[in-house]
Amino acid sequence: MSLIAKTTQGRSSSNSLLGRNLRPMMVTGLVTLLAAFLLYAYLYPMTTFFYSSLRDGSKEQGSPRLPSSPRTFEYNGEKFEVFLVPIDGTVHQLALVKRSRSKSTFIDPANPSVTIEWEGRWRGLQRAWVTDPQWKNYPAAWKQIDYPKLLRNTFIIAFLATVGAVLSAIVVAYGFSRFSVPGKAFWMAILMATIILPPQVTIVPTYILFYKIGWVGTFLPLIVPHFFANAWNVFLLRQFFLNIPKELDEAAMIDGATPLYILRNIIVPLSWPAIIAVTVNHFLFSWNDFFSQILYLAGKDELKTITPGIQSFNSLFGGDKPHLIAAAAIIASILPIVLFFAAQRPFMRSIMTQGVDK
Amino acid sequence: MAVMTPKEAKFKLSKKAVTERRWGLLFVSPWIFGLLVFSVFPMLFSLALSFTDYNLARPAEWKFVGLENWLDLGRDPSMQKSLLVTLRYLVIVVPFLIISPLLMALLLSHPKLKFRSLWVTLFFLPNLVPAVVTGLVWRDTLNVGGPLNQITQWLFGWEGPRWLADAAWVMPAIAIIGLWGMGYTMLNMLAALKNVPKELYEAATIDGTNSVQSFLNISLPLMSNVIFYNVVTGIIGGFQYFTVAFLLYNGQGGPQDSALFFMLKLYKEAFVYLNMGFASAMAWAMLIICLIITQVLFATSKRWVYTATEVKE
Repeated sequence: MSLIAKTTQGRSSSNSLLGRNLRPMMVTGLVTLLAAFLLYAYLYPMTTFFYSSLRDGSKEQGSPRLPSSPRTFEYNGEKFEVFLVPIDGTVHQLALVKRSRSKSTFIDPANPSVTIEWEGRWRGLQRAWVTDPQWKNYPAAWKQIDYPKLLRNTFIIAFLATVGAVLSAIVVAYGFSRFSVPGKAFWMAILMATIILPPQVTIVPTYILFYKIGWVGTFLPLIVPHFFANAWNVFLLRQFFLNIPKELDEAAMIDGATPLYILRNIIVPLSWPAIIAVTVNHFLFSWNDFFSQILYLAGKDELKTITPGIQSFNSLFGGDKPHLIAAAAIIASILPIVLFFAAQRPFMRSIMTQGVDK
Repeated sequence: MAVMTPKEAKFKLSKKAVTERRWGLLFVSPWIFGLLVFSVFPMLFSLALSFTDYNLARPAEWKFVGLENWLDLGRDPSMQKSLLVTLRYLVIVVPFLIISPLLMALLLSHPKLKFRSLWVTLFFLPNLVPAVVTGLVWRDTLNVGGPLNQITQWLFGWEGPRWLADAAWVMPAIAIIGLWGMGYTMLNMLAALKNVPKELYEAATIDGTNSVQSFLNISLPLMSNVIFYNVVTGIIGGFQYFTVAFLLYNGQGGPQDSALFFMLKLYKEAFVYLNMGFASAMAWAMLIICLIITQVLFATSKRWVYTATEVKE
């Protein structure tokens, strides 16, 4: 598609100045509009979900897309429902004060002292709606699902697992990028293979192992394995380390620096973009993970984390409280999105190298 | 070793090289330790378990059952069902999730596009959301009478399928939900498109090729390694599909088990019924299937995947 513009430009037969400028402008407008439209469609479910987090939970028929409540009008201490009443071809929003089968009495909220008689069946009328977002759903969901507990547990796991993953990946990537490890080609091939190794092959015996040493029902199985370097993180950091000129560490070595000193004072300070990418990536993984968390923390209510918390809340109250579930789900998504925007550039660049380098 | 290769001889001579090797081994040792404890040992243990009737509920009473678990893989009807579900995923969802991000990458790499990085960033956004949340969002969207059905109603006057309740439509629904995870593939493809040398397009335009031809003859071959990588990870992803299916049907298999994904079945066997032996046979069978598929892909890839070095010459 990137070529359409070029060829159409080339074929443009119009000789007038206007024609020559108009064509590329139209192409720009069209592709940009198409991108905007597709994005709108792509994120439409997200906006709908956000609106449903602001509804009041009652399933009123025919309610609009924006979170709304039926409009009511209070007059002389009494609450009246407001309907859309067609009178002489125009629709008025009128409050129903006296209902009967074929003829009802309304008042205009703007001018309540005058009553309006309307002939017709009031049951056939549509309700008037006012946009009325229920922001209180968020504190309600926060309390009901016990978010402070879920957040604390998820944060402990994600933080410690990420620290372990990043530190170990830095050390291992340093080893693979700067030292002649015996059998290096063999180890690198294994490393690459484990990137695509499906984890379920090891899940059963790993579970048995953790069960035997009494770690099931604790955070340890979700933290400790990450201290032994994940293959993908090592691969990414190694690519970055290889691009740092070797003369830098050789010069330091001549001055008597130890490998650890070089790692800490030369390699790491020059690799912040890659380290940030790996950090964010691993934190998101831990935060969003569901499988290992239900596996190792099942039945331990005081250790419950966010994603299993939302899932069980949903299976308990899915039918009754969709608004609270939506609110809880949106709260869970805030931190990943904020983190992404904070580290956007290095994070996206690291993904773009994936696949291309392989 | 009687004969020393020149390389070894060099190491023997240099004391510095020996210490360097020691440092190297020291640095990579955490990974090697992890590999042995969390990959190699479990895989072998898993293979051994697959020939036993080990059950975690009564761990003392296990015995060897020979090939019984492996034969049961072929006999168990819900096992066949879950393989069929995964096969449907590979045929419907994997291609869909290669083609959609490819088309998006083509649009987003259009030279005339304005605000490019804004669109790329926003298209990536749903990838950050936990899978549990993705499942909730799309359950609402795919609801009977929900937004997607309103669109089919409006466009075609068709009330639309009962996406998540009709066994025939579950997999297309999973494919649509999968769109929210296409950001990674899309970024890979954008990077690949960016790497195509501009001169190739210019030469092609001079030769009078149209845009479709140059896409097919220039861009696509140069992206083939990225496509290949994503096909492989997509297939393995099909065997790992879990969270969204678990959420949508509360850990059950959905209508007529149409969402009984392989991983869901494995989870139930291993951690609900605690049939560790049978589950291990499942895991190994899956590993073998994945190996065969990727080997076939690698073998045929020489015919359709161009490597970067070949092109640069």
